[in-house]
Amino acid sequence: MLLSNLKLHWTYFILLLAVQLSTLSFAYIMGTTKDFSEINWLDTLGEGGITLMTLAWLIATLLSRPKGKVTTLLFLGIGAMHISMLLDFLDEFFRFNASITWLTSLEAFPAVFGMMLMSLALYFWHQEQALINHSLQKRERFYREHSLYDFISGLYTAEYMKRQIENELSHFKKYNTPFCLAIFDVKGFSHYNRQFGNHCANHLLSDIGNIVAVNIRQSDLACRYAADRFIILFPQTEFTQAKQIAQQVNNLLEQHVSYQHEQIVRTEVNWTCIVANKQLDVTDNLNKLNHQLSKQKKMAA
Amino acid sequence: MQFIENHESCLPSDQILTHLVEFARQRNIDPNRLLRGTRLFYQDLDNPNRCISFKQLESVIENAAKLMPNGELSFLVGQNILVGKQDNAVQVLLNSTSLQTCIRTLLCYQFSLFPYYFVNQYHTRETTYFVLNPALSQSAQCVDQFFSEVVISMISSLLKWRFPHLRISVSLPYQQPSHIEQYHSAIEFELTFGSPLFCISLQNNQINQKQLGANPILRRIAQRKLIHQPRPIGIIQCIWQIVQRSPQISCEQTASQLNISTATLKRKLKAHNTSFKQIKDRHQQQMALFHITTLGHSNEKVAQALNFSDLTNFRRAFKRWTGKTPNEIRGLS
Repeated sequence: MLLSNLKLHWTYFILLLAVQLSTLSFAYIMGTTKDFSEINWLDTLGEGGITLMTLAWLIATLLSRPKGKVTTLLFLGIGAMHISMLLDFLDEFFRFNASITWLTSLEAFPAVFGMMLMSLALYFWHQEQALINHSLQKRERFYREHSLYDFISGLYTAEYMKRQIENELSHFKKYNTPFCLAIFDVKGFSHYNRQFGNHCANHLLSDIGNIVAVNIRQSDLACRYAADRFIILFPQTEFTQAKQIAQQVNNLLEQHVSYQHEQIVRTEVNWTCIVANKQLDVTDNLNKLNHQLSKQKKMAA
Repeated sequence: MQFIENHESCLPSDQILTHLVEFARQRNIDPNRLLRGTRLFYQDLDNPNRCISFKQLESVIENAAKLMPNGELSFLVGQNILVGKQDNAVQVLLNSTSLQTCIRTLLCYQFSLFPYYFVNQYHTRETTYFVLNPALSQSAQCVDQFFSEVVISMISSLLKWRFPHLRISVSLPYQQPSHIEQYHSAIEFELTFGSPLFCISLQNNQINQKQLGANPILRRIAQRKLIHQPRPIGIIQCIWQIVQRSPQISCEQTASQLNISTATLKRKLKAHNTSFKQIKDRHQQQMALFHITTLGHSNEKVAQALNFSDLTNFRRAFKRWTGKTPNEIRGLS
């Protein structure tokens, strides 16, 4: 990811380097170096720090974003600020002739210009974020925590779900709003894993994650539980309705096939749905759900 | 007797390490971050004869626990450790016709199959108990738990694959962890947390169950290839076997049996986070627990069997080993 973005933005990096070098050479040609004793080291340290930090922000922004309008604006904005800071920093080492005093009085202008560009960038970023939030619906509820994200399925992990169930349980106790939980387990997943290998198994998990997330309501939340199990939270939902949605998810999962080595492999799942019990804590509710699933699996076998 | 230590590079890297690295890569984590502090590099793993030390493996497991804290790695490793391996010991195991031969294979080729734990068997008329202990080093809690999870998920996936009708139960020596979802999804047998021992119990009437897909010819071929292969054991396992043979043996006598000085033995054991006394205590603890909980023997009988001079001494020692008195343990079981 880091390396690929480095390649993606190579023109920006070269542009940055060119502007930095021309600023440096400009200061060198137009100014005369100060005496060692004339330099205010404390000031130098502070301004040097600001220059370095803006550079770090600039690089971090480029490394973490794809190309596009927002990225360009962010690059120009932070870049202008960086050049402004760099000029301010060079000021400590060079004295400029009286003929170009305008330079020292103008050194803050790139920063103002840069901040304006950044404000524009943030406005577009806000719009972009609203779109991303929309696409994360059903995969996320009120709370964002990237460390709980499951890279394989594209959903959040069981830990995220546990926190959500915890919240729902306290809401249930306070306002008597029952909610339901459903769990899905892929039939013969270990066999699939042995036959086609880890990579294909990961693709299957990602497909299933998508199908589950697409086929629930806006208010529901789907997470990967563990291994080949997926869990859905239906907040403030009656059992019959939750069961209906889960049944629909099951139907659509059974429509899904994966194409492996000229073979068509159908996906089949075991699933179960319960109403959460407010007398029990999160773990016991999950134990109950999984216990019911095991019973279901035994019956199916 | 030959034993291996935690700094010796003698563990095959394709057993656990390559799996860990691959799973990390699939989760967008830089393999070299996983290998940090081990002086190993990603490119090193391509070497088919590359061996690693237990210490290196421990650091990788500790790194993995920090980089991927959702606890799924140990289970993934366990599920994949026997799959698609051309290793001769694995071939012998997967081509053993019955459960009994499978168990014999596991005990016989333990170093090739899983050098990190060794097994002690205790029999009653109905049930066989397999108690597992660390063979190489007393590791940090998170590493120890990692290996336990690898073992149980390896067994669970082997049973699902090859012995679908076998029923066992397992007790684990730690409290129910926060990533219980991994256990729910990967383990199909009954589990008990917070027990004093890591113990697998099996009803004796199941011992002759046939393994699906076993081919006795392939087993014999693989077995023949293994004839001249050395079968080293971990240092803790080695001391344990000596203590098992003569329970009254002293540290000095053990050192002389191993042709090393007492100071060297003590130093070596300390480097593995244990001591001679600890191993001896653990051995007696397991004997006592087995006698009391499973066989239901009285304190007098157990004290006698373990060569204690009087009952008070035995009760005190028992409390030191398990944190509970014999009667409390009886009440629990």
